[in-house]
Amino acid sequence: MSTDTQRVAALEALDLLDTAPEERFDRIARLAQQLFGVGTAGINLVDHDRQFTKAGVGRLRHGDMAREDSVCTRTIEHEGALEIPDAHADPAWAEHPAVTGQIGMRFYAGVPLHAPGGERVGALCLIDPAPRTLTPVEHELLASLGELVERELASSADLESGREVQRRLLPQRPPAVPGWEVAGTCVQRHAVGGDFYDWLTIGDQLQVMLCDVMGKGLSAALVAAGVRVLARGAAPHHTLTSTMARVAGDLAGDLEETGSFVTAFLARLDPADGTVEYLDAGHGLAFVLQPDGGFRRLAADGLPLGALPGETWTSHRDRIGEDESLVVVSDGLLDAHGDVESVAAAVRRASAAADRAEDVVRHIAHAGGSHPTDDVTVLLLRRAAA
Amino acid sequence: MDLVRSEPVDGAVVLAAAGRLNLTSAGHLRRTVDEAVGEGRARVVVDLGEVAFIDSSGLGALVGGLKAARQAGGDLRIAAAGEQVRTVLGLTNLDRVLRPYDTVEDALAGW
Repeated sequence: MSTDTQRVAALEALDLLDTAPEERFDRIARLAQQLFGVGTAGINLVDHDRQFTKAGVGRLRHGDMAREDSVCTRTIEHEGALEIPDAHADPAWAEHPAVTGQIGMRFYAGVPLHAPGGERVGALCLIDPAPRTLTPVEHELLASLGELVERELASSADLESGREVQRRLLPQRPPAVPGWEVAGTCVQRHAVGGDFYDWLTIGDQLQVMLCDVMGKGLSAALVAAGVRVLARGAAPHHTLTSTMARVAGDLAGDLEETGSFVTAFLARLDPADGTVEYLDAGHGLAFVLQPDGGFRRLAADGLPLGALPGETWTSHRDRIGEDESLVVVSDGLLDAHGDVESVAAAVRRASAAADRAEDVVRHIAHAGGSHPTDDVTVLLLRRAAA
Repeated sequence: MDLVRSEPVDGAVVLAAAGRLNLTSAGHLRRTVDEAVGEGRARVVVDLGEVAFIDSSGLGALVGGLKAARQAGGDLRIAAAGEQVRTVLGLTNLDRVLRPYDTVEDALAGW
């Protein structure tokens, strides 16, 4: 890869191109404008053929400009600040579009912004219509502001690492259970959460779980990894309720420290007769779809893990009849539909639109519309018709 | 999200939140609750009347604040929650520990 291709790959991995304005960046642009008393300040990301202004005040607006019109594209060529004290007096700059066009630049100072891997992906810049020279102290201040922006870029990269951890939590292929189809999917959005599902064969039974860890990014994904491992480790030697109690007990310290909690649905199915023992820890979105087009919602009476110390959970029983399906979805669908009844109706409609279980879960995951704000995770156990 | 602090009665703090209580704003709420508790004002009412949307991070801030307040011998109560907030609280059964009060005055009563 050429240097610029690697650089652009690092920029794309930040997942910030073409995203909406965000206060965490806007705040720094405003601060720069005020501290230096300049007309314009901006945080620009330099893509292969364009500059995307992530945050801008004054004459720089959120959005795109051609890379050849960008001054920051020159700033990222080298380490250290680029300063143009008076573009009118500088033949290298006097005819630049930023000088002759609506930005009306005479003074420019910019520092490169690095991705966590060190690639110069953009610049923080100051622009003013009057000539100026920055003092050494001002240079230091500008560099410090640039580091603040880089911390925010790195926290975007943390989301990306979380996404990778989250992806690896998911089982690769469904278990072979005669008379049943098992499928799951997790559709991830920009904001990576701690959603996951898992399944595990214990003797003649199948244990399934769907969890949502509060929060986003790497820390949520790591808590999710902990839940998964603890549940897998405890399940073969413990009842359903004591499996949950052990997971909660072992995680209590972590959840306390991070101020996080976890909602979970945990169940064990006897595939021979369809009986299912389940418990719900603040999850609340498990349904049995019936062949007559109706559905029943499974009891949901437990608190999330980490909400109160010493909480215990009670299990319930149901029986999945022939041609019935147990469907568990995450709260990303609730955000899209508003209430539980509407979620159930959307799940039922989506499940009628496909035949194979793996297609059904995809349909359900997209029942939130094209722009859901959260991850959507779906787990399906479907019993064959007689 | 905007957060306005007031102390309408002695010994209790009211935090009036407005906007979306989500990943972006949860930390701000949590820090503000911790500040009040740290000052010895462990009775906290969070007025959710102007909060149109809460997500799991927002719930986390409320539950975390509740634990901090209780550890300091106080409590955290929520008031004037709208429909979306009540739906999410009900779904997670967190309304058992964060019982919604209809108004700030109801939440303050008895303190």
